[in-house]
Amino acid sequence: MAGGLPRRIIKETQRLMAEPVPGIKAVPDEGNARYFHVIVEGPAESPFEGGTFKLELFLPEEYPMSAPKVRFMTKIYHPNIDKLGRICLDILKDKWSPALQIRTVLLSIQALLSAPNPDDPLENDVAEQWKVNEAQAIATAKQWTKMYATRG
Amino acid sequence: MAASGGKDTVVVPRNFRVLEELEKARSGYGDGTISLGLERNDDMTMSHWQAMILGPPGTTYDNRMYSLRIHAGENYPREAPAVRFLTKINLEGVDSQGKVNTSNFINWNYNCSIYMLLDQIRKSMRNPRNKKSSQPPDGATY
Repeated sequence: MAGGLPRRIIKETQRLMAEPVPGIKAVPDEGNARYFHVIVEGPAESPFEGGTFKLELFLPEEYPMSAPKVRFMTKIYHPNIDKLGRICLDILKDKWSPALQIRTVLLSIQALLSAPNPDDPLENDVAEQWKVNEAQAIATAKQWTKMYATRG
Repeated sequence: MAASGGKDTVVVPRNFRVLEELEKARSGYGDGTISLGLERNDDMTMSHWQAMILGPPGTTYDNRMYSLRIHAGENYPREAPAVRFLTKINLEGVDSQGKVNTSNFINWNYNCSIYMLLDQIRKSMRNPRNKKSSQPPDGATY
């Protein structure tokens, strides 16, 4: 165990391990207690259902005064996630508050998969497609889920 | 683990470090004499980069644009990136195929960045040993 890891991070990690968020696995890296390997299951009744998405989460030095950094490592077709896996989510940016936690962030990401928000886009062409032809966008999202987020 | 005994040494993991560098590169560096970005904007591994260096005035490199290709591997930034000139250049520390020998330019460590290395390469063009050396025709490539 890293000697000087802030108590808050230790506490949060213990709780995450003891009572994981359903559908989400977050495991701290062996060599870096601020770095988490995350697996999110695509929520039921979303275009991502059946997929398992790899993410990575890092608690910067300023945490909890600044937000965790999170990124999708699995390719995903979603209006609020860009081609490099960066997530457009208010609580990861200006709406971050130290009262939030890793758990809240993971829950919000899961919710974002259930409810894509093309009006607050990051990935412009995906958001555009989502607005112009939602059925087609959902079909593409399902196809990507099958192609990139399903283990063979 | 934290070598400094009891202190929480924060190590930014590779991908987040690379993202930081990418974001800095997008907002541009100083006078624009060095520019840097990913080769493909959907490269989720963020490994393949390209860069452009504008040769410094008052040297034999003046007014020339140098394209470079950079590979930042899995072990970056613990390991230096592999840098190669695509535009032909005669510069100490760059071999006959355009490959950059990092240690000629920087004493690489975890806190170094791709930009810092490129900046050192550009600064070396001003070095008295280099600034007058004869150059291949402008725009020639390897």
